[in-house]
Amino acid sequence: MSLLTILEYPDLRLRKRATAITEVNDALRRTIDDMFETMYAAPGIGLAATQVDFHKRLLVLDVSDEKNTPLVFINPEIEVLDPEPLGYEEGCLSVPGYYDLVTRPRKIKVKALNRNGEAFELEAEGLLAVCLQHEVDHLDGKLFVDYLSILKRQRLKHKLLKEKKKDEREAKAEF
Amino acid sequence: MTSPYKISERLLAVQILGSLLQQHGSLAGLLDNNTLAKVQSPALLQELCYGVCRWYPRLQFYLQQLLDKPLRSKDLDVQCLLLVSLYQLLFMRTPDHATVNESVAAVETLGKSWAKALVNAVLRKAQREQADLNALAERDYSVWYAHPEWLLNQLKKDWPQDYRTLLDGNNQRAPMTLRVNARQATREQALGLLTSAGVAVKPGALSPYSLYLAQPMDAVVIPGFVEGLVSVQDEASQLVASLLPLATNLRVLDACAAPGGKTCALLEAEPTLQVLALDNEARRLPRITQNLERLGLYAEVRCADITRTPSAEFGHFDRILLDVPCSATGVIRRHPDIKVLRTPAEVENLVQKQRALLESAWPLLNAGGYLLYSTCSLLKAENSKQILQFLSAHADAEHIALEVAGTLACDAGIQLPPQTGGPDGFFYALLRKSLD
Repeated sequence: MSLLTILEYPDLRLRKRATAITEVNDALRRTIDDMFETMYAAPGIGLAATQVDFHKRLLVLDVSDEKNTPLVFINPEIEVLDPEPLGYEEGCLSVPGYYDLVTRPRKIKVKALNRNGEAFELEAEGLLAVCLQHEVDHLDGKLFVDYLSILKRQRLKHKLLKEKKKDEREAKAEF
Repeated sequence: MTSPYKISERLLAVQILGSLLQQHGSLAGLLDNNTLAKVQSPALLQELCYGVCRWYPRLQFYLQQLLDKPLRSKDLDVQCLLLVSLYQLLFMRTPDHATVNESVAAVETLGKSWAKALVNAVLRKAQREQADLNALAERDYSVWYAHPEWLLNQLKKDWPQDYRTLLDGNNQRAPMTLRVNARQATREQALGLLTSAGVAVKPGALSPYSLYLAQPMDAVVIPGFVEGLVSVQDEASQLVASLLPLATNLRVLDACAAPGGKTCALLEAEPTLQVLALDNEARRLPRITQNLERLGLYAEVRCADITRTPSAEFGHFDRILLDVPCSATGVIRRHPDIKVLRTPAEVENLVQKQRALLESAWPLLNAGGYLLYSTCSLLKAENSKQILQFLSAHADAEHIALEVAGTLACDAGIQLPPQTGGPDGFFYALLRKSLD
């Protein structure tokens, strides 16, 4: 297994739309394992393939406190069961260090394939529902910051670009 | 997506202590449920904030010894980080290397990279010179007992025999105590029910309704809490129902009622009482109503200050409970931020306010009626001296002696000291209005 590099906002590759997976094979399962390793190491509770520059409809997550409930979703499709909005302070591995309130439908049903290519359905509420919608957004090239005001997003973008430049300068200075 | 737990307990503790030291609120206010939800371990966040306040004068002294020159006021965050780290090193037995490494890393998150070496040096020195630091601290009572100088001096003056017991009591952790609703169950029944639900409790010695929890827990998950079987209330406060002589259908005024704990204790002991519960802060009234509703009790609840509203509005009462605003020096173990926030000038204002409340309440009392005065203070100016002064000015006021085990000898009223695994520091005085 190996750690993958997580793309960071405002990287344009995060805006690509992922395409459907046609075959669940060993190569894909290796990618899934790498994605889990990357997610746990980050640490995160969910990771979409788009974030590791793999533009297929695949996401992994584990919202348990004990970090012992890994879930894989291949070609996930979401159906809203309760549109009543639920507000949550979201954060994203592709937008490090930033958190903000996002509201999403409260209860959803997701249909997907598991790591063996078998179809399953799952009803989700609470953090699991939030995380699933957040990750499926990634597959559509969408980030949680897109739900914020333009002003907030611009300010964030400038801040992250500035930090990135600073990091690069410091890295150069060290070598 | 990242985990919703977004901030480390120690960094949030640094922010909260910074706000506290700038007089932007109390610990209880700053550590509200929203704030606690921001960290993985709310218990650790509380431990850090309460612990630093509890030992603030001592930690501040250590810091002075360890720093070559004081930090600038704009580096309050670095100061708070050092206080939190010293607390972890010297009081919490967190592994030393973890504390030092995390603190140095936290400096960077604060955006004060320049202070990395400083924080590292201070904490390493604290580890090395711990014995010397303690020896120095022992020389100064205010530092050793971690009380502000003015408060320590006043306690020493008021209680020359007992002040060390009081200081020690203030530095302990407070137990969590339940009051059993006598309308729903006897204490023995409640004890049985809680024990069988896996909650360890034992009865208190003073109040017949009290049960002490072996481990503090969130009130709403205590079996029977939501149903009104039990309430959370210190044993000293529960005594109100034992000390005020009650009988059926009496008209009772609770003049400073919020959050309603004592109002409810009275009504549970004697549900036929006709209680008027007042408080001068409108925002605190819902707490009274919520408590009454949960327990299935009734009282008239109004926003009023008896020192401002004409007495004719209230009518007359057979009993008055005057649980006055006070310095809260008897509940420092519950609210250690008092050590950081309270000033002698505030105490003087409170003494005036208490006097005004006594003067306004007295005409509302029927002849032959009883007034119970209470504070959670340890200071005589608010307690026995206040009562003696009132007695000397009112010929129709008679002092009735009260008896409770474990109280300190007093010229008027009774003083409970804060007791480890027992009640808070509390003062009660019972006055009777003569019949002529």
